[in-house]
Amino acid sequence: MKFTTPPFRLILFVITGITFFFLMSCSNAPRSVETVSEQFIIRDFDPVANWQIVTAGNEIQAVNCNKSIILDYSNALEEGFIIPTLNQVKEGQFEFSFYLKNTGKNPQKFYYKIFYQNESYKFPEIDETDSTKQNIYAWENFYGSWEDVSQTFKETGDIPADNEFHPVSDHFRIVGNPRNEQRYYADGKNDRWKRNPRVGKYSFLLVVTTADNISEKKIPQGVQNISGMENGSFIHPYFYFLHGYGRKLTNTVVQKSLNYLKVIAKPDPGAGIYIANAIFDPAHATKYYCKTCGTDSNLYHTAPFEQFGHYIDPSTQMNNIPVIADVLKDNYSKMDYNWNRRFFTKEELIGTIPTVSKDPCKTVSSDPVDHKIVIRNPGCEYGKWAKENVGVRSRHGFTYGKWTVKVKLTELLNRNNLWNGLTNAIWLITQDQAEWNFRRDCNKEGYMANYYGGQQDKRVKNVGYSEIDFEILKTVPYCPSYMLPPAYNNGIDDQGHIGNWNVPFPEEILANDDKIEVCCTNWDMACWEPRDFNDGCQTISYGGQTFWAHRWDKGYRALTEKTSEPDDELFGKEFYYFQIDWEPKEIIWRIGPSKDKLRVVGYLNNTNTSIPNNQMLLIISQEFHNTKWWIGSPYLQDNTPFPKNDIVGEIYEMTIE
Amino acid sequence: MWMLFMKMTMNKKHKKLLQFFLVLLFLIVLIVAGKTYLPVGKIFHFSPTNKERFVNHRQIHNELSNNLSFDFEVNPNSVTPSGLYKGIAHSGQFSAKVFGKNSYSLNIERKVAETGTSNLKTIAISSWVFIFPTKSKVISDLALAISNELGVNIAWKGVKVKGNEIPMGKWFKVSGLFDLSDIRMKPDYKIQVYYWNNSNTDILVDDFYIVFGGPKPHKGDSTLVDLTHRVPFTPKFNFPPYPFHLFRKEEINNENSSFLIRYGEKKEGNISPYDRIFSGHFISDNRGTEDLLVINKAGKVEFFTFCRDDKAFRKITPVLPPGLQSFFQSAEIITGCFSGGGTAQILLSGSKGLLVGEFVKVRDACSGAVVQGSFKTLFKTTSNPFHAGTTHLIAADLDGNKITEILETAENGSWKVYRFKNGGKEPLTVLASGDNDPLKQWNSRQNIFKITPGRFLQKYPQDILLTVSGEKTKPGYSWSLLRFNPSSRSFIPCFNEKQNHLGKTIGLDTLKPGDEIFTGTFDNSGKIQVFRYNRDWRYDLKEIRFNDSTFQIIANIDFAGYENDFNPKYYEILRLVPAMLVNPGLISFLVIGKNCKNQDPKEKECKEFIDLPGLPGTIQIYSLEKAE
Repeated sequence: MKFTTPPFRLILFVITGITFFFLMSCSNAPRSVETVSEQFIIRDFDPVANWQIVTAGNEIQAVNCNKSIILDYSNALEEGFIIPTLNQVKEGQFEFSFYLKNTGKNPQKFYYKIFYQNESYKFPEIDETDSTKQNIYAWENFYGSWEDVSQTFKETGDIPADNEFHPVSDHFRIVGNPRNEQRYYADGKNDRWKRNPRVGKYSFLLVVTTADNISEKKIPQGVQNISGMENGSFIHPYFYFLHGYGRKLTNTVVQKSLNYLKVIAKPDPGAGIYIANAIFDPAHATKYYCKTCGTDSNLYHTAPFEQFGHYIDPSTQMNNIPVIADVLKDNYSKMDYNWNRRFFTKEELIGTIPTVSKDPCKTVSSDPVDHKIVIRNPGCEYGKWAKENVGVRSRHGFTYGKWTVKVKLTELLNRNNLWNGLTNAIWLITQDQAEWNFRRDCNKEGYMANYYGGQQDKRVKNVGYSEIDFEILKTVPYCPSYMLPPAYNNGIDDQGHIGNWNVPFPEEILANDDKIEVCCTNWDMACWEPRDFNDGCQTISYGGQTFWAHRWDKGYRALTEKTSEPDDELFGKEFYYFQIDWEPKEIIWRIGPSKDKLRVVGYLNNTNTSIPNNQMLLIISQEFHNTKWWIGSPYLQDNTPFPKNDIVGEIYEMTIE
Repeated sequence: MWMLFMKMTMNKKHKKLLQFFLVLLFLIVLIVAGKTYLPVGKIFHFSPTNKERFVNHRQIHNELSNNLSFDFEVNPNSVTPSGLYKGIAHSGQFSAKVFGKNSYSLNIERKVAETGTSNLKTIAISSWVFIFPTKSKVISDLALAISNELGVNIAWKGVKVKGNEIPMGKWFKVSGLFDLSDIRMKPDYKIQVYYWNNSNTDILVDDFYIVFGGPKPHKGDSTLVDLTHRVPFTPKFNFPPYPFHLFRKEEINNENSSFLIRYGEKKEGNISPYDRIFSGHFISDNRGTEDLLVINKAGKVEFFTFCRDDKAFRKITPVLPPGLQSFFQSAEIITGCFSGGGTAQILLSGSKGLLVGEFVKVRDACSGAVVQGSFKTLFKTTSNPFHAGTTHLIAADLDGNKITEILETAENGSWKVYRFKNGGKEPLTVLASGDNDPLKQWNSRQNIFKITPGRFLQKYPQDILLTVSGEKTKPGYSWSLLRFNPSSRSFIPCFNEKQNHLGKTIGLDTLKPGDEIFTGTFDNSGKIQVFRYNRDWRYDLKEIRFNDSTFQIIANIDFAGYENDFNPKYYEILRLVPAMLVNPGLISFLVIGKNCKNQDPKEKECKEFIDLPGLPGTIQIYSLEKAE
């Protein structure tokens, strides 16, 4: 009786499926999943046999469980993330194992290869319109196999035809740039950190075959060696074996693990802040250096964050009122604001632009006891007026992921609902604008070449700039467009009549007096490729909610959605969560008081904006924006006092998963 | 064919008749189509109709010179004008109808001349809009039209209200801002705001609001401090920005009211900023805090003294000899220690004569019992040696002997210095006199001037005289410091001849005759401090310091510790009275802040005050906080 005849294949498939179903739940039962080929049977495929952390986080001796692993940051800066490291398992690799029964008549060698793929952040392997074709974006998925790509299928050694299952085990690990793509090389070195393993769930694909399939080259070279290309593109092994020609191969078993390994990045805010000298003037370098903040080589290797030095656009110059006040504590009022904006002469104003600290480590600190980072916009004094931005940036890039932070950033409004001039920003920014980190081609019009260029900027096919923002400040919604800008009456400088200078805001502004705008932005660099790319206001729905997206014009590089939220809710509590869920086809912005109570405040997808696919870093900052950027804002930065006291923000937790 | 048919079937008369009807029909179609589809409002100015006249002349609220608002409200008992809708309104009962395709609401119109061409670089408009639920597509605009003298629109701008996401069945706000900087406005041009409905929908609009001009730039020429290049700030002598020093509110337990004494239902001391207010040791011990003597316009005299233990003021009832109140009402009053010894005395000079007196010292003013202060006349004459009404009287310790002298300046600039000697046969003796002051500033026929005595220069132990003057016929002001020389019996300029004995003015701040100059010991350093208070444009109180050639601006003065928004500098009327009221040896400011209910532009003083909810009248004491 041949097991390969169609009826038997169907029966075997059903049996296998039912067995898988029962084994999906985490259990200690022996694994007995069997996949049958003409000459052999495979069972008990365990992709990560030597790692026992289940997704709940505790370690148990269990099989058939979804497991999780937290990324080890040691050496990740230079080597890229390795899953697992020697710190996590003693072999420094995952052990995978399976049992093989030779159902042939003679002992023989079999050939096997393991593939892995990040399932959380991927494009489907098959084309959406033609299931026989590989999705044109599937090659972007993060998949790999043996670290040494030249190692194709491995040999089992002779398996006797004794009707017994024989164990086979081997090792692998997940590393960056698994296809050894040359774009990530520099000076002959594979900079695996330039294409770090993605966070999220990984699946594993075991392929076992017979010698003739290898020797007769029935499996394409580009599948055996994933670094190889055919017709200018990579062949996705999952597509090949699960949907393409590979699924028709005889004497070949393809088994995809039902359980996944979840990879989580959780950089410790208490592990130090590195100072990149390139950003700061070395003359000021060491004054505030300490064990947890500075440039020493230990911090270089271990600190997951660095102090962020904002790019200051010279056009952000403003003539600021010469008032120094603690807006949050000094009972600063609308009347104060109105008087100050009307009754200073030009000669009294301070020409200034937002600054960054001259002294690295002065305004940021890492607390290894409480595992937090503290950032502070410093207070200033007469003669040293400054609106100084502050922030930290992660140092390890990722593509995609749910970037969640638990923070207590400064309140933005005081009890009179006066704005203190700050923008709390939680944002992703390109790790590098160099060629290795270019976004995928923009095939319609191209991208605007520069982040900062004007309308006349040239358009290019590739660009390295990407940015996804939470920017939270006191401003107004831009949509619908018929309400922008509000009809403000700024009053006149007539001190003899209080009603002439102390004019109330329009009622729609006062209706939102205690609210700030959570602005969710994707910098798509004005790529026109998305189907519904447009300017002005347009709606987009997600999960029963409708969001207004706004783009100033078709050359404008960013698309923004705004949601009004109470300042007290977001920044008046002990902490709050902010999440940027960056997926291959969509971006979802969520906020909430706890991680399990997040709500959506922004949503964009690839129908109206180009979703970046390059590697990005996370920045958490408190910034003084020029309100010329925020048309219609009720309070202008120029008319907002310089801070009298330090304005503090704290970062407790960052998770990318 | 048509013509052929005509020729064949009709005679000439019939043809003409038919042609006439055809032309008529064409015209009717043209008019109907034009009314429906031609956006007349985009091209031509709407002449006001009768129904709009009430809009433009009666109902517009003009709160500020830079804005207009209109709520479409009319008398509900009269016939509703045809353009209005009764029953659905954003505010009140009425709104404006914009029903059907190519329809226009009532409009607001203003001539450019009424708003001023310089005020029209931008115009912001807003309106509330209600769209009756419909399946028709909404296309409409909140429109702004500017027409020339011929009634042709030279600009038409609109806030588009269209699309699928327009709210229906509820009021929503529409607003926009238009840049008009490229239009050369002429006074005869007209500005109209209205709502234009270009769809088969029914729309109501309400509460039009127009703001002429964007945010006004700050007054002045240019910003002096540029920190954009990270060059450290170097203060420039007498040029802003200056540091801020603060006067902090003292607790006087008056429930932050406009009464100096407010305790439950007890309300006393509603002192007007226009009252005459004097401070000194009138009834209290000379080593303690000073008392306040307040004389209102009716001549009513009141005393207040601060009880430090209670941190509250007490009122002392003055007992005046009969008939003296009218003298207090009309006389020019100066106070000082005319007899020496520290007790404050009062000199009244008027058409009724001259009187010098003092109050009897009161013990236990803070005991809680009703306390009276009896006035004692020291000297009285019906023949006033001063030229009442045409002279200025200045009380100052001109020779540094802690006895106050009296300087009288006459209209022609001549002057006399008197000393009062209690009990003498001739209580007033002339110490010195002259035909002119050395710098000829005191001639009030030619000059506007103000003399302020004070310890302006630390090196002199006596009061010196700051004179700020301006010629009536010329712009500009000059100032001088003069000290009295007892031996030569003359006034000597403190500044040298190189600067014509006048003080130099360096920087942007000039001294003006309208300024109030306050001097005294405001902090524990013991130094005499000088403050200049100016209200020409805004509240502007600065600490200044005089030196051998000029004055230096030390700091801006602001206030702290006040309740809610009641910063004294926000009041339309703010009176500052320096006095040693709460701390012996230290001067504080009695601060009286008021807002005017109806300011008559022709009147200098406000007739009636108002307690605004956000800024009710205030009377408080503020003391200098140690500079940070």
